[in-house]
Amino acid sequence: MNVGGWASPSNLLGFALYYMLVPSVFVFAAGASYRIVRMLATARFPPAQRRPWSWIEAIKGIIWVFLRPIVFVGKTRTDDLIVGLILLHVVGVIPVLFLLAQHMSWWVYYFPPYKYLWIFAVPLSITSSVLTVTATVVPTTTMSHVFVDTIWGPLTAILNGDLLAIFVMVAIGYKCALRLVELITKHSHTPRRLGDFIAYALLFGIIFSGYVAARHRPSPDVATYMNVLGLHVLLAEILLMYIPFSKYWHFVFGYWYGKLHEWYDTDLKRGEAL
Amino acid sequence: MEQMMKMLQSGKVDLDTAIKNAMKNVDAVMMHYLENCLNCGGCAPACPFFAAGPEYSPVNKAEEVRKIYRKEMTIAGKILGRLVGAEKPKPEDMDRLMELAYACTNCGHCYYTCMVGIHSGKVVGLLKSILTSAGYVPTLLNMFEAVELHGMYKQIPGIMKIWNDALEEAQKKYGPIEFDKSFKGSTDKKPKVLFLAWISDAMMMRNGFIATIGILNKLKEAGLIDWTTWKVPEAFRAPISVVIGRSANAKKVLERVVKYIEAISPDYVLMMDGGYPYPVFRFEMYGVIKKTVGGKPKWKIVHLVEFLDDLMKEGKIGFEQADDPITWHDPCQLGRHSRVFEPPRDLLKAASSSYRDLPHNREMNFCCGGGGGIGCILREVRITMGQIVGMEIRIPPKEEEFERRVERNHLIAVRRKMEDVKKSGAKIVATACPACVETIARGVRHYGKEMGIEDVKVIHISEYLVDKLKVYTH
Ligand code: SF4
Ligand code: SF4
Repeated sequence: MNVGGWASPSNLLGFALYYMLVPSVFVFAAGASYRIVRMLATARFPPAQRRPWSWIEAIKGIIWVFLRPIVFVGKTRTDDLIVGLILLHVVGVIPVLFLLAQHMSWWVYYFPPYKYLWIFAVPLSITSSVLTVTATVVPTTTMSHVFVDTIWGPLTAILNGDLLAIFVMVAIGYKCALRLVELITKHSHTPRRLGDFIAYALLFGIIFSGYVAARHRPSPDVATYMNVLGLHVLLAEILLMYIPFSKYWHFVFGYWYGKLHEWYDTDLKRGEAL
Repeated sequence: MEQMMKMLQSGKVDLDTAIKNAMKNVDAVMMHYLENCLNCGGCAPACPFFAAGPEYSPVNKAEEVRKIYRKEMTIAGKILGRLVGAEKPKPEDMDRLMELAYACTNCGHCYYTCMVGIHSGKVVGLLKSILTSAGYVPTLLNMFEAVELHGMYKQIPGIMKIWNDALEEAQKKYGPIEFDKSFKGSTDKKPKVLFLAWISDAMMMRNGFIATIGILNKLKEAGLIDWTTWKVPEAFRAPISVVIGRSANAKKVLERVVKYIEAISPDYVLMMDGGYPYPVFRFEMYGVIKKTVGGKPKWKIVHLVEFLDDLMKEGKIGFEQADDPITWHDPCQLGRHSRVFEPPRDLLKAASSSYRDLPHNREMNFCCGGGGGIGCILREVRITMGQIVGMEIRIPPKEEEFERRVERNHLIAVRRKMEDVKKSGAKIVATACPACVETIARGVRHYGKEMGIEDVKVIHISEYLVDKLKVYTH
């Protein structure tokens, strides 16, 4: 399969990096613009008899706007807090995407100022090995099994690509299983949406292919590595294109808009009658 | 009756037109509510109706509108249809949709607990407006709306008797009222208050209504304020139309009331009702007020508790302190939707050393389950209203079935509120919304014995404050 060198479309990595990147960014940008422009076109600012507000109250308000649902879900659905929020987001997708050393070098390549975050890089593995050669972390000893030296110190036991990827896969598995059980028992507090399964499948594919590529599996030859890594990048590009049309939009816009609107609506517009 | 039935049917359109009209009103915020749901289900435990079944979770109810929206407004929905959850309702879906729409009080608890700030209650409101304009609306709410919109209550002796009797009793107890007094051109420095009292106040919170008049008269006698109210109200509980999603009619009623307010020209428009009229006037339809007045009105809309709390902070009033175990139930519209949380607590703490909060309070208050018109479409209300208007209000058998299900859900919804009351140990629940008073009282009647709280009293806050009020005239 691997003929024609790095930039050839005949290996998946070449195809993903040199042929699909620009179109996928274009589709993402077009989709995102479409959604934002539609909202801007229908934006209204209805008047209200507002209350005066202070900056202190407003700052407290915005903190609570973000915290309230987290506290609520922690009290009412602890499993969802652990799986959905912690495993999938906090010690899952977010650090993997933004702090994993390999991904950081990718971000820096396209956005050089990102290099200032290098200090927070998360290694691929808890132990140093050939798999972390692209990471900026320096092994501290010459033992055969050297541990990685990062700013995270002992937290590296959790904050490493291996474990974070496993967290995400476990979380996706749990979410899908829960949803399937609910659908089978017809006792579902959320509606059936095909998009959810597509979104989970895509994310699982990305994480799994990344995990496999990092291990140079299924076989250690270069051609397989390039194809598995290529699949990883290609799936990520598909996800990028899918973002504006799926629930992943929350990550780019929906979540931030929603929380800021809620803050404006509840704290700035209605204020607190003190 | 025939005339009324004709009025009720007027403006009815076919379902497709109803959907198209509703979709025209989708603005950026509604678009966010409709498009950005993560389907995480985090909002489910917030909803008072979730206990009645998973189908009543906020996200499940809102999904019915999302299906319509996807089909009507998105390219993927138009092409792929059900595959992407895009679908228009069929005639056989309408009963189910009615049941879902009337299992939402627009309490806003789902809004405050949603990860991405989606107010499912507002989405259900859109569903109600579609159903209403297609002719699917509970008979009683339809009647209430027509009665208010066309001012028909003025011709119904039973209704006017309730209003007039309450006024008479209030005057007997607390002195005369100067009705319809215009403050135009007045040079008096005292704050001039228009008590915007609804017929529903006199009907459903009679003692609180009388007590509010008592409070206002005490303030007037001490020279702190001047006040007036209408002899014949311009609305029943303006605007009832918002409850069933007929915004054009709501606008008409609001304009009528605003014209009256302008003629009186007060400094403050004061309400004792902390249900939907307050946020509608103050926030949600303030644009209509501005348009009617032709600019920013000179008067301020306040709730009684805010007004009294300000006077107390200025050192002009105080309360004789008792030690009754009393609590405050935040009406969702006054609390979450208008963020009036502290003033009633300040007042009750001043009036009772044994005030305590409910375990779930302020933003996280448990809705009682009676708002959104739900408390008005129960069988007992239908019978009572029939007695008041002097005729039996009959509904078709299918609607009777709907009524029974609403009643069942209503009772399930109020249960957790009653558990909260029990945990608080309060013997008096003070609040400020007729639907809350009725619903929690129904909860006491139904669960009181089982939970050991049958002696709990549910009152409007004025009832508790009136006799303890001390006005400082220094
Ligand atoms: S909490 Fe918000 S995002 Fe989650 S299901 Fe409910 S409405 Fe959707
Ligand atoms: S507004 Fe209240 S009643 Fe309506 S769906 Fe949300 S939580 Fe339930």
